Amino acid sequence: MNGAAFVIAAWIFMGLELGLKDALSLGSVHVAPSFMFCLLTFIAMFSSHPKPTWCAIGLGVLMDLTFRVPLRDGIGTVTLIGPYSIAYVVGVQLITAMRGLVIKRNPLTVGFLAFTGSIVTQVVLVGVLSLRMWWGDPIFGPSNPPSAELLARLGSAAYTGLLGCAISLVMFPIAPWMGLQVQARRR
Amino acid sequence: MLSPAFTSRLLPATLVLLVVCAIMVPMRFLAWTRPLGQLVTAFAAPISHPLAAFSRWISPAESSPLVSEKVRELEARLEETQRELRRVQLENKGLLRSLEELHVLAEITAAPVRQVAAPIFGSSSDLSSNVMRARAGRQQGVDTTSVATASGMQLVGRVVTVDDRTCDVMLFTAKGAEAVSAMIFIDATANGLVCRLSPTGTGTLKGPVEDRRDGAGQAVEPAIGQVVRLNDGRWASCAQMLLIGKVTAVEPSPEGPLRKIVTVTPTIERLDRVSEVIIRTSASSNDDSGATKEKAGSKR
Repeated sequence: MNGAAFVIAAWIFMGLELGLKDALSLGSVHVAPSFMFCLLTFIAMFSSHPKPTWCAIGLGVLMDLTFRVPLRDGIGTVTLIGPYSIAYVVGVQLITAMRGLVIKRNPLTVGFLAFTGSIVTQVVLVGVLSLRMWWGDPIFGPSNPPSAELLARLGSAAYTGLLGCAISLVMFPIAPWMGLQVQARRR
Repeated sequence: MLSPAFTSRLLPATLVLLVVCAIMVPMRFLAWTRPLGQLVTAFAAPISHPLAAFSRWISPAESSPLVSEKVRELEARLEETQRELRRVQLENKGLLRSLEELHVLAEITAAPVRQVAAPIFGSSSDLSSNVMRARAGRQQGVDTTSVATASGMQLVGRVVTVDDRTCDVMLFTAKGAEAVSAMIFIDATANGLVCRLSPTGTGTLKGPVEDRRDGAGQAVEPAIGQVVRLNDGRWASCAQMLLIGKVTAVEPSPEGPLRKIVTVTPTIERLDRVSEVIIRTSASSNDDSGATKEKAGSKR
């Protein structure tokens, strides 16, 4: 994989995540797709180990640094390093394990893997934040319990799957420039 | 270029470090992450800002494009005048009630307000934050006592984090936001009904209203359409009497038949879609902080 191309793609997708995500959200429950996870899914599908894991860490840290975790009763926000990174690493493990079982060069496959990987990611993310809550951090409150948060995030996972299908139409043509092996090797 | 053997050795160590950071490090030791976050936001801003502006142009906060700019301006000025009138009425009422509180009220209500227009250039990477990022920061005099308003003096939220050039505004209608005290204006005087409103998570606020009787013993009840303004001592003085919204529903309280519960809806349909906010800061708060800094400097 081309490192410079990955950095540029990460920069563009970070901008999309911060600038466009809220425009695509559904209602007031914050069900919104993740552009970053779609990029990660694509990388996990077409690059060799351990690059997807390193990319998951890199993109996860970027997400962590721009995620203002809301504190109870609106008293403020906190920036945590780790919840997204760990969640992305676990999500990527699922995608890399499943990629051998699917027809790779198909937009629906990208959508399906983005959906399943995103489910795992969101479960791990809420799990990590819940652990912090149980240890006394004022993260979730009575108005937004972890169960409600998880439900909204599962909706976001489905939405990410849909976005993955759409984004793959753009990503497949530019994948060779990123150094990703999209074409099947011939013997 | 790092060798594959080295990276494969480094990977488990990195993962362990991340797990420790994510779960075990107390929040008070994570202050160093915020400047890094600011850096990432600054790098992403050249892409996120045009996209945020475009998306807000496509899907604006209000769905009334037929109203002309002139009418909007006049409405904003009318609202500002009404707010000023309410503020003065409240001030007079307070002064009449207790002369002993004179110096406190003078400090609360007469403080000059500094206003800065700040475009919204993005949101948090995770929408559960309910945070909007505005392009005005410490250099423009914004601090954590500042509040954000939209057109027509509609309250949007409070500033929770400030950097040198940007700040985070948390919506007051966000699900996790704290309840606010407000006043429902039942007539043209400052004789309003006090209520405590909690966000419902759907962009509205709901809460009980005080039970009050008039001279004849009749209950003074709120009505749909009445204006509701912020009247909460925990918010900065520049936020007092800002518009929260209008009463859109009145229902009896399950706790007592004499009490009412009101639902208040902001005058702007979707507060999270505003493209620009006005950051209001009490000028005295910055002067105070400046004085504190000067004091600290003289001690050194």
